[in-house]
Amino acid sequence: MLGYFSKVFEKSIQTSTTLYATLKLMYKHLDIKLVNLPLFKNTAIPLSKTNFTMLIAIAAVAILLSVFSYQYYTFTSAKISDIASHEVKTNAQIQVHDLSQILSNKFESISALLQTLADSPAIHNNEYNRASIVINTRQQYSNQLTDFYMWLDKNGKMNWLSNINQSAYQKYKGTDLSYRPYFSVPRDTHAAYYSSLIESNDKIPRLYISYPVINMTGKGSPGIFTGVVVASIRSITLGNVLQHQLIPQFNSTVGLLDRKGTVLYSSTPSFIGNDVFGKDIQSMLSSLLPSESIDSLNNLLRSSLQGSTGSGDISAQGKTSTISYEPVSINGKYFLTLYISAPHNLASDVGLLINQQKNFSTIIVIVIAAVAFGIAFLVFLWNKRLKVTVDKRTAELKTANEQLKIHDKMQKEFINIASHEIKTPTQALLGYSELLQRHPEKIEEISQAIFRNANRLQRLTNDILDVTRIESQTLKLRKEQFDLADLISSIVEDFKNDIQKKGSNIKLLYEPKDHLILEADKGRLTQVISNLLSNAIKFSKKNGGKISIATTMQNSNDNDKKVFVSIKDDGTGIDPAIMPRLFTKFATKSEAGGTGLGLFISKSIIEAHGGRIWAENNNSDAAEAGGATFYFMLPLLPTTITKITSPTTHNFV
Amino acid sequence: MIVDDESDIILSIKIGLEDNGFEVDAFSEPLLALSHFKANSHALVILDIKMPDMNGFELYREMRKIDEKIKVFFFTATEIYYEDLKEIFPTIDKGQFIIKPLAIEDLENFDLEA
Repeated sequence: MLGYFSKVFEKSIQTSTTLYATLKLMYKHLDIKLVNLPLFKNTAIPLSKTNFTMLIAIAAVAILLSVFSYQYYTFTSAKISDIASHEVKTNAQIQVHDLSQILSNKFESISALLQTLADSPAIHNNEYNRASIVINTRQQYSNQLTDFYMWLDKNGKMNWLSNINQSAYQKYKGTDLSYRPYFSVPRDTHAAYYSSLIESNDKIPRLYISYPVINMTGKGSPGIFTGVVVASIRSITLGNVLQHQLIPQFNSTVGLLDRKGTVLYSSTPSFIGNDVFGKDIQSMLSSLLPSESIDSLNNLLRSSLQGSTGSGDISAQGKTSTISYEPVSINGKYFLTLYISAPHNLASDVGLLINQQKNFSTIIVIVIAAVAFGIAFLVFLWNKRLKVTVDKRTAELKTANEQLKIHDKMQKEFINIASHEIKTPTQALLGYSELLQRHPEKIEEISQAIFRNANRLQRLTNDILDVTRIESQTLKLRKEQFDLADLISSIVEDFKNDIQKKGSNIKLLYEPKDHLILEADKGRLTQVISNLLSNAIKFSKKNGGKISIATTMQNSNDNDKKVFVSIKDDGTGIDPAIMPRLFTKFATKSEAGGTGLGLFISKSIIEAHGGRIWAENNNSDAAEAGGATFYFMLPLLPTTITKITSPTTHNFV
Repeated sequence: MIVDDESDIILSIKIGLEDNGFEVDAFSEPLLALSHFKANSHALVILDIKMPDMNGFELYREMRKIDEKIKVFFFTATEIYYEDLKEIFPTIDKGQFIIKPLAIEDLENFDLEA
């Protein structure tokens, strides 16, 4: 059993190894295949190594199970076949024993009948009429087996033959049968005789049982032989009777051999009367059976003819039959041998069923394995998809969280800035108003400082109000027609004066080229330009800084006229950290000062005029401070534009 | 010494402190202030935090290198910076933060407390 299991295991391992190689190959192409499936059209999701290993494990277990179940069924099938064969064999043995007992009994009863006949007074006294009736009656008792009864006189001539009519009797009466052993042997031995197969005058093979009729004249006398009574049994009748005793399901057949090996009965009628080891039968057998089967059959027959009981299996053309034999004796005397041949049909039927079951269960195991494999595969895929989705959501949440953090930081920054911007002028106002009382002589200086700081507070208030207006979309423009070139010029003049007052030497360069007539809110545009200029000044080098303002037109002859204004400085440039949110609220570094509202307001104003505002660093490398340039674009009115000065083209957009 | 990039603020405080009999060096540029700072040269330093070129904390760190025991007040619009600074200089006390706006007459009290 252990060897059997280890074999099964070995086989399973081999199969699993092959499968692993196949799956590995399959796995290589899995991505591509999956993409082609409609379900996974846009997502190429390869299985993870763990999942793949689990699939392999499922497949391996399934294969192990199916190989194991196949082997197990083969094993049980062989076992069941054995049991069935054993059953057939046992049955054959039981049957042959039963039949030989039956046969013995029948022969013994015939023998007993003959004995009573031999002792009957009618026969002793040669009362022919009475004797014939007695003989006929006795024959009736055993007519299942016997053909006829005969009564022969002391010379072997026929006295009476049962069951024949008068005319036939006349024909056979006095027939000399003294040469037959069934007459001569009882005459000589004064004992019962059981014949071998004898072909009678009518060519029908028969068996005979005979009893001597002895007249006992006195005590101690051997008695006077007056004739024999004979019972005749047709071999074919004998065979048929036996055959009827057999259980039909087993498809067994009966055979009878006499002591010498002559066939008394066989399912093949041509065998009857022949020597079983004779030429005819042996040559016939050799055409049906392989030589080793003939040998074993002949051995079996030889041992059976020695009066023993036994059985053996004979195989031919893939079919096995059990032949069981047992001697039949009459009154302890070996008379003939009975054979029962039982084919192992039942066993092969059972084997066939088991084979079917074996195949079926193997298929079932494979199907279950395939389904398990499929389900596992799908589950893994869904898992993977789920993971991808979760990862995506997590990333989104992370981004949202980061944005919240930035927002929070900005909020904090705003509080810092707002508090600084409000408290600084307040501090100054507070300080100066106190000092004004202590130092009335400094009234002019102090009142200027108070004015400056009050102004600063007012600007801040205005900025905050502007933001509120922009956000509530209530920023109103008071549009009028004017020349932007004039406006820029006047603002630049103011700034120049301011710079001069502060004693700084920052240079402001602006050369008006064209009349730039537009319809806009003059105050608001002033606010934008002032804001951009003060930013430029704030970030410029305090000594020798240079700020250039330029305007350029696009589509000068078209209706869709635009002006591009640029304000270029050579200061520190725009911090890369600020750049992406340059025009949003509170976009400032606390060190730089200011509310960070100016550019947001400027952008809103320019956009409210249908324009655009943007900025860039002059040097792409932020480390090299090359200053920054701010641009804004505004639509112009379609009026004729007069050149103010000789045109010098500046292209910096 | 007082350092603040807002010249109006330093001017008012300078006058206020001088009225109280102090000698005041006022600077609107931190680097300039640092170049004038020497060990044991000043009894007290008042620093703005939000300044261009070098903020109040950086200036404080540089000044500490010159004079370990220098007494410093931070003059600031908010307290937000306190938590940050506490991590870098655990010895800093909340009382060292003067929150704007501040009345000139309060300057004397601060000095006394210090």
